[in-house]
Amino acid sequence: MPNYRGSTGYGEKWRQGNVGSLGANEFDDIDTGINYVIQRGIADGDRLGFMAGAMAAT
Amino acid sequence: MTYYAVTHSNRFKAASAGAGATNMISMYAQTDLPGFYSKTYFGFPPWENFNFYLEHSSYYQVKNAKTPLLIQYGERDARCPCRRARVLPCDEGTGCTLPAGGLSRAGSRHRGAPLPEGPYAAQPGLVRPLAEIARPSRTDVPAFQASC
Repeated sequence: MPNYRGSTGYGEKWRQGNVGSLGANEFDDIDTGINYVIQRGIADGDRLGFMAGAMAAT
Repeated sequence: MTYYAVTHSNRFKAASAGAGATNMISMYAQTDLPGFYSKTYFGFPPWENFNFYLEHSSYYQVKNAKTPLLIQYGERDARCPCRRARVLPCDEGTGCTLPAGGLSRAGSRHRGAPLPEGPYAAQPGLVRPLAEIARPSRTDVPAFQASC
């Protein structure tokens, strides 16, 4: 479960990281994380699913 | 993020959205926290920059969506009202329907994934009985297994 910009745990600048660009920054972080776990051999890039709820579903 | 992902990327084989907002213009007034999203994420109301709201509403990007998507809402969800999903177009020719509450659109039936069992009739949103918390896993997992 990625902790992307706009979420919590890394200070106010991190928390404000999706203000004005709702979706784009968060998805960039998620995409970067996916590439990382694929590169590490943890995930299969051809069998990816995406699941989210509430604000994260938006 | 699910709606953003399926309208901006085709790398996922299946996706699931639990509530969420597809139209930030209607979200501005129809949620039980009117103005919350605009104050928190945009900083101005829709009438001050209408196009910005359009650009950040997946409803207006839905033509880009190719990923089988399972959409689930609680019928009594005041924060992300169910009607937010009912406006999503369903591709003709897939045989997909939009039942009340538990929703599925576009490719999920087309790819052989099961539809949700039915509406989350009495659900107010994310706060729900324990038995209902497990329900997305019963709908999401088979849909993902069929598509991934």
